[in-house]
Amino acid sequence: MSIDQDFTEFVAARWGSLYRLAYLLAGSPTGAEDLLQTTLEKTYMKWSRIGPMDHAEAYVRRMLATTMVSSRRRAWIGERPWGEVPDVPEESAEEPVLDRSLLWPLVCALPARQRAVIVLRYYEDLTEAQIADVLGCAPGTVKSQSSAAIAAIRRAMAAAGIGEAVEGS
Amino acid sequence: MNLDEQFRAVLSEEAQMQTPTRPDIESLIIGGQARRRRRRTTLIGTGAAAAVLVAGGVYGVTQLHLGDSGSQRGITNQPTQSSEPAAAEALQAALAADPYGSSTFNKGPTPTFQDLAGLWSLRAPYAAPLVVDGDGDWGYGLFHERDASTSVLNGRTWTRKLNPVVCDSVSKLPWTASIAGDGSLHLEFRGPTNVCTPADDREVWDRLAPGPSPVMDFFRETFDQIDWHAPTRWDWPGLYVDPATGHVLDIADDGSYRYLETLAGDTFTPTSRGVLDVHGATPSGAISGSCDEGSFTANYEVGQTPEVAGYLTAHGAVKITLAGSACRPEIGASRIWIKVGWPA
Repeated sequence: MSIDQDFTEFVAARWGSLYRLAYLLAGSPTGAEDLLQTTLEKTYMKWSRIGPMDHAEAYVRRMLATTMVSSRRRAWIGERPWGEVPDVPEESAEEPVLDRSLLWPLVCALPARQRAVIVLRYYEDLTEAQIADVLGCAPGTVKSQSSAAIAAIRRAMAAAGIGEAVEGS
Repeated sequence: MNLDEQFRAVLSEEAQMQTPTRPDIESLIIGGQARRRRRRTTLIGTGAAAAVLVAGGVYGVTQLHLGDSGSQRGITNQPTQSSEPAAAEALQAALAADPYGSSTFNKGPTPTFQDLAGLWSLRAPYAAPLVVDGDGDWGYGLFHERDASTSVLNGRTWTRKLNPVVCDSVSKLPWTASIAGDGSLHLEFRGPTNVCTPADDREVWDRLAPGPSPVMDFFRETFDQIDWHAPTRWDWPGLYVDPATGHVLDIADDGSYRYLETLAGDTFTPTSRGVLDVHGATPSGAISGSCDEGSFTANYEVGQTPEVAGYLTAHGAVKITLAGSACRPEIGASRIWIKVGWPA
């Protein structure tokens, strides 16, 4: 089988799941398409090495995250700034159940790197060490980015009037 | 359900709701092949450059030995440069390199006043703030309304009128204006006399507010790199911006301040006003002030943002922690302020 045929089969089979991850990372359908296009072009360049891997899809999924974070020029477009990280406990506590339509926009509004950390942690189920490896940073940075993201979302929830329980937790 | 579980549920649900478009695999392959060609070209170019460098190095070392035989001098090890922080790399990626000399300096789209409205910072090696509102009033600061003036935008020509108080030798500054691909405002001077402006005949202004903005991203992501310390001296008057919120604080020479939550609209309306006792601020970092609702006390530390050579000069920064305040909204609600100033 030629490289092109092999690559074509891979993309056809994995496009759906890759697109969904790209959508979460980019925060929009058009952003997802751009991100996926760029990542898969890079994947094609290295397909002779990636194709034979046992976990080729996992490798490409990580490339999606690194491509998104490294292409800051695209990433910052449409972002809104968030405040600093207040001193809030990171431990899980009972939260008011949120509708998807409320929490997802808050995730989308996070800076690109913070959003990537949240998506890799809760959608890809990666550990902090694995996320640090993917994003090319220290585990401590992942921890601080995660804390900042969660704090910003908690604060936004509080500002939206559903945070009394959060503040008190 | 805790927040971790909600993240999992929401992300999974959001992902499943998406209906992926059909992949255009042919364009992916064409794009990948083009990337591979570019990479090969780059590698060949890099190899050639490396060969030239090696040859040059050999020549240089040979000349050094020839010209300095018998001396004790040797080639000392150069310190290893640490890799640049990710935030600096992101800023460099987002902004065009060396735009001042670009042959396409003014090839971008023609701006409207809505495009111009906001707070801008002059690109390194210069530094200065520029404020423009939605109907073209402009100034190098907010508070000193006597310094502000009007402007006229006619196609690509933006003519800023000058207040005689600020500049008594020139009455107006005509520029060719455009918005560059990196979002910066490019201005090229078209008049006979260029005085009373912060840079030369070409100016590149990066947007700070309203966002989004690569420079503000950089400020936010480098908060933890600032070496905060007690202020033996801090020059309070000036224009400040909070990268976390885009809010603006304008402090006049007498300490009176205006706090603006937005720079949108035809005129800038402060949401709070007050007076900082800038002359009573202590070197250990205590300051007090008053607003319409009452008074406040605060502690503050100062520092400097990192410099990114060729892109962004270092900016002064002040971190305010309120001890008690009756002011709403309060300047301490934005705890870190970056001073958008003129060169020291």
